[in-house]
Amino acid sequence: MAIKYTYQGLLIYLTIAAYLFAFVARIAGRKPVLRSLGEGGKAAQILYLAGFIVATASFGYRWYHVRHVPFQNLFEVFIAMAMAVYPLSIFCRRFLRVGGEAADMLIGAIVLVPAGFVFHAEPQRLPPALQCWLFAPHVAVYLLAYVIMAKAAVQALCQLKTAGDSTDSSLIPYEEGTYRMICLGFPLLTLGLIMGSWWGKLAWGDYWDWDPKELWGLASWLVYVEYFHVRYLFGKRYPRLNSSIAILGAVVIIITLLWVNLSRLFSGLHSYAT
Amino acid sequence: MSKVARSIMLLALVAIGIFALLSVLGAFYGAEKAKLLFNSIALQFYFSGFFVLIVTGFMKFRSLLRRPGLFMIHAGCLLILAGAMWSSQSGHRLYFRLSGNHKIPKGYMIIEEGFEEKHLFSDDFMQPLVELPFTIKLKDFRIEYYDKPSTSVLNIITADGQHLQLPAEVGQTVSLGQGKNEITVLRTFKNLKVRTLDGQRVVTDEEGTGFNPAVQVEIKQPDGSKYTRYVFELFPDFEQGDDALQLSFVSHEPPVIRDFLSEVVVIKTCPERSRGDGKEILSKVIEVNHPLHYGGYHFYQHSYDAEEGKYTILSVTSDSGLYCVYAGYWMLCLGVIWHFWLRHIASSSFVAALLRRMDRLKSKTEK
Repeated sequence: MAIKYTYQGLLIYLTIAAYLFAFVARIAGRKPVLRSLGEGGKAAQILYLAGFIVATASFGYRWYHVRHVPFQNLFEVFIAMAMAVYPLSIFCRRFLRVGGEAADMLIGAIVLVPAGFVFHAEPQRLPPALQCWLFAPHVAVYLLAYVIMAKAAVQALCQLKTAGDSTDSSLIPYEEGTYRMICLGFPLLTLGLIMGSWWGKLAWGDYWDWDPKELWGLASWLVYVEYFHVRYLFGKRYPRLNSSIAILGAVVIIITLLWVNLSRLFSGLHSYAT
Repeated sequence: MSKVARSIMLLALVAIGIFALLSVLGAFYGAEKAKLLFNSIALQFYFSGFFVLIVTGFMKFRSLLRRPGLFMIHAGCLLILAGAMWSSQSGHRLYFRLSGNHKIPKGYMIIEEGFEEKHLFSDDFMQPLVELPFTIKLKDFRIEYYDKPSTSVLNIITADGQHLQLPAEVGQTVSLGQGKNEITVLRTFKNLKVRTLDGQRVVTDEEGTGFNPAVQVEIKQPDGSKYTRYVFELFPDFEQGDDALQLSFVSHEPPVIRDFLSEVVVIKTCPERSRGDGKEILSKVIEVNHPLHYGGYHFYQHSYDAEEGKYTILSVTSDSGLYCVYAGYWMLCLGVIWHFWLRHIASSSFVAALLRRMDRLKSKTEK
């Protein structure tokens, strides 16, 4: 753990603070006194937007600093994830009627903690294998998919906890919310897997190399395939089963994203991405 | 849902679950063992069963045929499975039995600059695996580096413990004090090599073929006499001399490689085709992410001569089954995008909801 005394570090800490304060304001806004005033919700929205603006500035600064799309390592990917949280939150509420903004704010802050205190921020040159047009879209679709699947897991957790509808009448029930989020994220997960495979063929000569990262990525894709088949077979008859599979998918994604890259247990072709 | 359809779905759930568990198991095994596991006879049966299960699904579930998205997703998976089986070792053996064409899934080529090669070898280069009906000639191999900042320094520790630093640039001079030595940088090297020409040792800088940074300095003594010393970054104890001066050289960080480039030509050598024999028919610069495709094989930049940069190592993979896999990829991608996104966007309820929301926003702004 080390504090980053740089402009990049400052932007990261400001984003964490904005997202955390937004989260606190959101939770406090649910208290009857503040809710009647409508102040907590407004403050949370403003802070959330401010956090997004600073996160975007942080991403842009990093891009300028390293002179390539900053998706090379976990430090850069986590900055991008924190930036993606806000627009996805807004999109999901407005068009899919799926809530969970408070959890999104917390996710945005949490993903920045390792970026701010743990991961190294030294800029690195792109090695030859990463100099491919598939680099940016492959990582971008994966990071979007991961944020969406994290939202799906939050919906699933709410379903397990409350076993029912959302308290907000403008939103759909949690089980349906989980399904919609997975429907949104699954094509991105598929695109990420296939673009990675195509890129592997271009760079290393094999479209599938049985590398640990590839296998964990495939396992997470298969968990969601299982989810769709279970939901097709049983429908909403076993909502707890559906939610459990969605949560399992998110756990496998966390392993794919973090454990595979950080643990020596899974050294392979993707080890450079730490 | 009929009993048979239900049984197929349950089987599919079990098959997908097993595949996911095997993937996790393979990740713990590591790439080499996982490759052996997934190419084992047992798993070849498993994947064949998976293939049959999807085909059965098409026959029992009409929705797989009626809904374009679902059809493309499942047909895409079939194509990927078929392509993977075709491109496997067993698939290549079957292809050889059926067509008589001997192709191998993967091999390696090692080619020296100016020379030709037509054999594919095993990964230890001990065993030739197949002879190609053409040769690959390496015209040139080179490594490109990112530009480096100029921060090289020569560190000096004098006999009385004084620490000095001198920019390692030609012509830079530092005096160690009145009545003491003076040090001047004569020459810098990115990759110092010593060659013997006409019986004499010659020091050269062979940039781009290795990494041996060094600096040549001239030391002028108080009596006016001069001598030179070489200071190596990688060998700090080399030739420290008896002048009680400790010199060390720090160049920038090791240069970062931007690209490896093998400039090759394909030469047709089939004896029965006398017209094209020995003629250069294709030239290409093979780089990482830019392989050469010729004669049913892809040629990739795999490794190189790190010492002298005089030879390149190409990995060569067969393209059998590849386009079947790619077709499957396209179908799967289009299928998921259509089924999960586009058909909802195209459905009237979604568009109506979108229009309602726009109207609401419009009326809000008017207020």
